[in-house]
Amino acid sequence: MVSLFLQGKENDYSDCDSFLLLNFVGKMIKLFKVKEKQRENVENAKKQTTAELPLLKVLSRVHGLRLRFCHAAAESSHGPILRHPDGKDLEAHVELCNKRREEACQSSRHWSRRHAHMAFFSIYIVNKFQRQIGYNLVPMIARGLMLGPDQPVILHMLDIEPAAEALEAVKMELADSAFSLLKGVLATTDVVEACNGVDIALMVGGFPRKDGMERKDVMKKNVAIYKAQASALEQHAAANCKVVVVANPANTNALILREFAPSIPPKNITCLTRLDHNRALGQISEKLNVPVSSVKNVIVWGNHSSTQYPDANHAIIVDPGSGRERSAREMVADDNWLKTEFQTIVRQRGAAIIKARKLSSALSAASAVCDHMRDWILGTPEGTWVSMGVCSDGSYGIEPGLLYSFPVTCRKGQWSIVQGLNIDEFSRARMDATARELAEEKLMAYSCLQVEK
Amino acid sequence: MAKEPARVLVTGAAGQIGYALVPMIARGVMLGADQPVILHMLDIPPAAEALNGVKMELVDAAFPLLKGVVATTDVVEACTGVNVAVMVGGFPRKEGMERKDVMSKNVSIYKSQASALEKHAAPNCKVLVVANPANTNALILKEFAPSIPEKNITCLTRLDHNRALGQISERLNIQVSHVKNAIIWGNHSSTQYPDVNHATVKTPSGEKPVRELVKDDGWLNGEFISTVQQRGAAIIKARKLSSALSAASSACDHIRDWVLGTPEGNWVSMGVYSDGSYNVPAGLMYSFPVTCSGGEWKIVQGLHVDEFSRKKLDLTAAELTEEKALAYSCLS
Repeated sequence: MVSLFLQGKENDYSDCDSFLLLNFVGKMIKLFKVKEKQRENVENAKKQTTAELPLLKVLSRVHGLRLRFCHAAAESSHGPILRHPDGKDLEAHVELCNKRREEACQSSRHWSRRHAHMAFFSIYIVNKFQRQIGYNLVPMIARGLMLGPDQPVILHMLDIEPAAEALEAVKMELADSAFSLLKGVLATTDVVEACNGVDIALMVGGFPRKDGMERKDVMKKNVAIYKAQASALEQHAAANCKVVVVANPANTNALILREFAPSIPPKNITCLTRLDHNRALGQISEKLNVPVSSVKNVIVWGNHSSTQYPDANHAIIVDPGSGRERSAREMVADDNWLKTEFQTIVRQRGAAIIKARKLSSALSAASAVCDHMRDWILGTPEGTWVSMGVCSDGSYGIEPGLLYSFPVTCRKGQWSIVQGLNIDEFSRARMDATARELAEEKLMAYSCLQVEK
Repeated sequence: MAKEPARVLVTGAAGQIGYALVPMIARGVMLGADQPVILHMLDIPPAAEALNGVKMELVDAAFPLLKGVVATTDVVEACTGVNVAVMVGGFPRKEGMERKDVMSKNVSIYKSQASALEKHAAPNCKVLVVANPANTNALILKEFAPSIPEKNITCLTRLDHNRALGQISERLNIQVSHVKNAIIWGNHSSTQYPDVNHATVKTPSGEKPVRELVKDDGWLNGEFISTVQQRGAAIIKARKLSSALSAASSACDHIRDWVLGTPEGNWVSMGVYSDGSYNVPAGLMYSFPVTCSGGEWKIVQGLHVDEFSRKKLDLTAAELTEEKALAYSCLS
């Protein structure tokens, strides 16, 4: 049982910030109620409350209000009751504030969004700060390139102990950049602290394959990592947390994550194939010498590995002047190139970057992560689809339950697989081959888990 | 109606500041979300393969605003038609090197890049020098590119400015977007003077001076200054690499505010060609508080400079005068 005492400035709730905070508080209370129902264990309910407290402290500091949590002795059949310091019932007051806020929203649109998700968009980034993906990604996020230029964010950055000092340096640099959208930074080596209250989780960290390692060894290491992070996420992340797994083997790491975080909706766990998708767009644009913004609707099917199938059969070129759409395949007029060289270049692009830079592709990977999340949350443009590794529902004859990359459109924070695309023989064979590899990886991962168990 | 693409040059583009900077430019962080860009990236021949790798990654990122990439080791090709030049490339100081050696190397780099820019850049090209010694490199650039308007050549002190804002926001435990109007005076070196005498904080009851809210002149006149001055070294100590992320971000801020204008009531710090304001010797590249409008910067005039500040302003001016003399001696 939790009671909330709110102390505003001079008990005046006509201030906009107070409205929003009260609205928040209202939402938080609802969240508590939902969570209490979900967890029969009172112990867990208390833990959750304690976990929410730091978040609310941040909120309260920011808005200049003070919040105090008080575990009241008395039980109430109505659940948590808000009490105004001088005894009035606050819940009714919250409703009133909501109404006033809606009215205010009609007249000034901007601040409703500015504050609506503040402190609730915490982004949890795992690992790889020294090795650049995280380092490239955080300034992009802090500039609003992932969630929009009016969406404030709080970053949670997690890395392993040996990287703690470097992680702290990244935090210092973020402070030094004076990003106006960045409302807070948490740099930690504690996975629980990192997962606390996050709305978005970007899983960049994993065990990289080293010279001489067998596939099974890499798999074993990553299975252990993703199993641990799964339970932390499940217990501490926000209810509708959206997850993208980047670290390889991305699809199978995401599968493991799903296995060990059963209360996270499977549709919320995805893996990154947007990088391959963007690479495919780039190759078509170079081949046709058109701006890349004119190319759309390639597809990357399957596993983010060498069996991926970049498919340009349904890709479209949009003329920037007239808006006229043409089939990319027709314009390329070279099916052989599309079936051979195009495939190879996209598949092996990662290795080509490493050869040139002596480092892996951080810039483009970070950019693709932003694209993946942005389109998922803010929606894909009309007539455009993108590639995402998602939980297969059996579409296109792909085994249900695999984490497989499909063409998807996104609307209102949900992705849905584009249906009804014609699949020719060549494509069928390639799509099945990559599905087979994924099924194999799944078996290998489970066998590692048996050993673990 | 889409705008004509702007050509943006980044020298030293294969390095880590360049790597952090180019995606920011390609995403519209520097010139706005509706301004298409063509990137020109220059580096030295030993870095040619790495530079090509960056070009490949830029293609792979499918940036809608990026209308072209020129990756080259030829300074003429790099400078041709550019509207904005961000000079990140320079000779870094290595262990055992004397100041004079670093100066000597950089002076010759900036001399040759100056003439290429002058001959091949677009008219009214705006230049930002990042590589250290930033102020003096910018001065050399100006000397050897006499037909580039002197007001178009600047150097980066926005990083220090942003660091100062960050330190105040941490001290007061508030959002950095609520702090404004710090000033960085002088040289982008350890003699820089971070000045918050005119800085203010947005509070629910209006704008309040930073000094009033911090209530700790000892800290503001001591530790605050040295923290900002030595922040670069602190980052190197923790990362084992210099600050790329924040440097790139500040470079974007510098150009964006210059081109698109500073918000009402705000000023920023830029290293610009001194006209003698605030009794700073004319003819130095010196960081001042400026406002920007219509693509032009203007030094904020009439700010009161107290005795403590006066000494600091003069100290950093003296160092710049010394560097200038050193640079000219390297040239002759």
